[in-house]
Parts: sequence; C-alpha cells; structure tokens
Amino acid sequence: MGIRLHAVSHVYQSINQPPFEALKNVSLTIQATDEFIALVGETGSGKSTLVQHFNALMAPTSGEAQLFDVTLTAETFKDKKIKKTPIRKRIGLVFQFPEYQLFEETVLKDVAFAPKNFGLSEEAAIQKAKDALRLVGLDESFEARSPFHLSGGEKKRVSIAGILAMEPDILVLDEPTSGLDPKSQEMLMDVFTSIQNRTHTSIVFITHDMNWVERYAKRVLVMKAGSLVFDGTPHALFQRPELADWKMDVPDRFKVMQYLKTHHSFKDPVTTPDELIDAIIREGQS
Amino acid sequence: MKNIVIGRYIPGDSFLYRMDPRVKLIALFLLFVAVFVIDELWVMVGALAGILVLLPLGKISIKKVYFGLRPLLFLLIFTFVFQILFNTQGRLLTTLVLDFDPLNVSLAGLIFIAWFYGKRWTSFTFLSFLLALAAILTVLSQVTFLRSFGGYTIAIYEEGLFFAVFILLRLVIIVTLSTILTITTKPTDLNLGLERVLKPLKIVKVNTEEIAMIIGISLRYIPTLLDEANKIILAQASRGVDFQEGKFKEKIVQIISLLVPMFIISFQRSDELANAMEARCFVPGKPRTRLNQLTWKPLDTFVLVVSLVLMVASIGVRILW
Repeated sequence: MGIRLHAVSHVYQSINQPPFEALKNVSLTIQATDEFIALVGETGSGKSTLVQHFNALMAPTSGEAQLFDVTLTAETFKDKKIKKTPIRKRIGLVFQFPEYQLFEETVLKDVAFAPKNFGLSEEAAIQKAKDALRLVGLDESFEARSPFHLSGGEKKRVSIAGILAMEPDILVLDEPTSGLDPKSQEMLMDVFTSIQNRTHTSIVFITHDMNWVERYAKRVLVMKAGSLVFDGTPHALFQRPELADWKMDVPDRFKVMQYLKTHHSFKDPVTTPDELIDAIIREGQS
Repeated sequence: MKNIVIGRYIPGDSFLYRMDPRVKLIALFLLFVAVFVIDELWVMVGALAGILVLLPLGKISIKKVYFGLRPLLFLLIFTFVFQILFNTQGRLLTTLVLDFDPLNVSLAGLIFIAWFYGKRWTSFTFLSFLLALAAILTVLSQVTFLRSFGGYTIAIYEEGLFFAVFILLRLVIIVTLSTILTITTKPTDLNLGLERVLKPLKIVKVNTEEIAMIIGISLRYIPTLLDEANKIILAQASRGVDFQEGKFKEKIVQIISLLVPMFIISFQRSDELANAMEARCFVPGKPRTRLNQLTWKPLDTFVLVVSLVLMVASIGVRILW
C-alpha cells in the first residue's frame, strides 16, 4: 500500500488569525501502483494541504498518515529519528509554481538536483536528468540554458522533470497543466499516462478542468471546505446532483448533451465522445 | 516561521489600536529618548513595569510580544554575558574559580550532552539550559577529583552586572515598544502616520512621502516574503533537501537553494508591485487624498502629554540625581 490517511485533520495555527481547520477528518487510501487520480475542489478547499500530507511535508494535527512503511502523527512527525527524506523520494510532489524551486545555473543541473540529493552519483543523476527532460519534451538545446530565462511553460516542464528524475513510486502534481497552452497541457498529460504504462507509477494530479478529469483520471477525489466529499470514478461523479453545490463544472461533452436534450429532445444515453458523434449523426438522419 | 511577529499587524481592539498613528510614532520617539536618557537602574525597572502594565491594558498578550523578542534572544544573551564577563569596573562582587581536571571537565561535558539530547522532551529549552549551565559551573568550581591542569576565574564586578542588566532591560523595552506599534497599527495607517510626521522635513527638500512609502512597503512585505521562504523550503524539501541536517558543504547548497529563488521572487514581486502601482496611475510626489482621514481624539492628546512628561521626567532625573 502506498498512502493511507486515517481520520486526518489539519489545523493551521497563526498568531494573527483564529485557527483554521484546513482538513477535516479525511480518510483515503492510494495504492502504490497504477492509480490515476484527479483531485478537484474549489480554491481553499484544502487540496494543497492534503497533497503536502502525502509526502511528509506536513503532519496531521490529529489522525495518522501512513506513507509506505512510515506512520506519521502529530507526535512522530517531530521525532528527528524518523527520516522524512526517503518518503519524499518514493512519493514525489511537484508544486504549482516552478519559481519556488528553480535555482541552479543550468536546466540540467537543476533537474539533477533531486536525484543527487537522494544519493545518486553525479553521472547517474545527470543521466536521469537527461531522461526526464526528454520525457517532458525538452531537447538537448535546453540543457545548458539558465532556468530563469525560460518561458513560463518551459519552467513548468523543468520543475516537473526535476521530480520525474527521482523516479518516485507515486507522483503527485499540484496543477501540472496551469499556465500552459492547450497543446502542451495535452502533451504533458500524455507523458504522465505513458510513464504509468511503462512503470506502473501511481499518479495524483490537482486540476480544475473537468475535461482532463474525464479523459485521464480513473478515480476522482472531491474536496469541499476541508472534507473529502466524493471518492469514485469520474463517470459516477458527473451523475451526482451535488455537483453545482461543490462548485464543479461538467466536461464539455456533458454540456453538449444537455443542450441537445433540452433543445432537440435528444434521448440517447451516451458515454464516450465517439458515441456522442454517432448519436448526433443518427438524430440528424431521422 | 509562521510565528515571527516582526512587522506583523494583529487585528484587535483597544485604546492602543484606536490611537492616531502620528501620535503613536511621536510617542514612540519620545519614549525611546526617555529610555536612552535613563541612567538609573530603578527607573529602568520602573519603565519595564510600566510597559508590563500597559500590555494587558491594551489587550496585547505578553506571549505575542515574547514571540517578537524571541529572534533577538541570542543578541540579548550575548550582550548580557559579554558585559558580565568583560566589564571590570567598579567593586568586585563575587568570583567563581573554575578548576579544570580531566574528570570534572568530562562530567561537565556529560551534563551538556544530557541537556542537548534531553531538550526535545521538554518545552522549556531555555530554562533547562540555564539549569544545565548552573550545574556545569557548580561541577567545575566545586568538584576537583584529580590534579587540575588549568583554571579560569570568572569575576563579576558591580559595574558589569549593572550594565548587563541595564542594557538587557533597555533592549527589551525598545523592542517591546516597537512590537506594540507594529502589532496595533495597520501598515497603511503606519505609512500615513510616517508621512505626516516627517512632513516638516519637506522644508529642507527631503522627499518625505517616498521615505514613508519605502518604509511602509518594506514592513508590508516582511510577512509576505516569510511565507514565500516557507514555500521554497517545502518545494526544496520535496526534492530531497533536508534542512534540519547536513554537513557544512550540504548546508551551503541548502542555503543557496533557498536564497536564489528568494531573490528572484523578491524581484518579481517588486516588479509586479511597481506595475500595479503604475496601473493605478501612481505618480511619486503628487498630492494624494485618503480614504480614511486621520482624526485627532482626546485620547491622542492625553497619550502625547503623558509620553512628553515621561521624557522630560527622565531627562530631569538624569540631570538632578
């Protein structure tokens, strides 16, 4: 088993604000192989706090988080004898903004930073970095460039490569597609799929775009005001009447369906885009 | 990192919050003068007592002020120890003869190691450190097992002790007063207050508005940059940086991995801020109106008079005593 959270709550204590409960009694399990999970929810619903519990950057204020063979609670988190770094190697977390992590003078060095920290030799780390850069679609010409002179999308890819290079068992991505053009978004999502097909890496990604959820995710987690309100397949999610209450959209295909239903008394139940096209053609002919 | 209080405004309501920022600044200045003029220990103790009364009256928890002092704890202890050890003026109060022999030095070492590894189980790190220090000094001075191979005499002189306590109190008072100011004043109000207080300097062609704005923006961005630093630490921790450990060489890499993004983000933020200001048609030096006008209340007159009296009194005490 990869990640198992049991009744996890997290309260932010601040000196100039009242305590804020960002996670309320969240329990979930994420397998170490072949999961493809979308984590959705409106801004401030606790998604980012949740993923920081996945790789031991944060500890539950109450409840416990089992990350592979390490169990973290509020008490054991403080224990320096329990090393957090090995967990972070197995569960890689990519933050939303690449600016917070790029610092080396070349792209290649920056991507090799993580594998080097986890004890690989210089050459091995460089090799892993090169492989990771190819994966995210950056060719050799980028390797010697400064990460600060790249475009927003390229920085994003470098930061993702920086985590891919350490070959985690579970890959957690905080809005991997934000700030990218549609084509790059699709390309990156396909990269994640192909990584999974090859190495069975479990993937968790935060997103706001329901089209990605429908196309890629096998499982969806919905957060609302710190609670986990839904855990199931995308298909089951889009049938749920509470969607609007969760401030959630449906994929474009569903909107087309809805339109056809109300304006053209369209009845056929369809599940895939191809079926939708077929149904529209049939409706047109009759 | 989240508990750093310097420059942070903490919402609340009391007479300290309702005071005019101009008055707060002038009063702070007057009280600073008073604190620097005082040269009698009992007056200084009285001043500290006054502040300790002021805090609950102004509904500011002492804990928050302590958080403000904590980053300076090292500086405070350092000046204190320095004064006690090296100031040799005045009457000799007491001496402590330390004898070093292999056995009692190792015993002292053991006590230190016990404290060092035991401190994680107690929440009173500092208190337990003082206890351990006292124990070490006792062992070194009282117990001699073997022939000593050297000795050191700690001599505490009257002046040394006096100045140690005195400077400690002065620093604590100054930091506490400034912490009270930033805790109770919104950055915008502080900015406006500064601008108005500095206004007379305009006669000698000092660009007071810009100075006020620079100070205001700096204070405003301290908590923001601390939050950014926190995010960078998390992002680098995800890439295997263990900020709690590492040899010297690794420590350097860790610090670089924090400082470089910090620098870049600071420049980005200032760039964004400049753009945002320009988008709102900000022109330096142009007369500006305010949403909230400052109003002078009887409370302000009262506070101003009290701090003026305190300053005059402390000067008076200095001259006449």
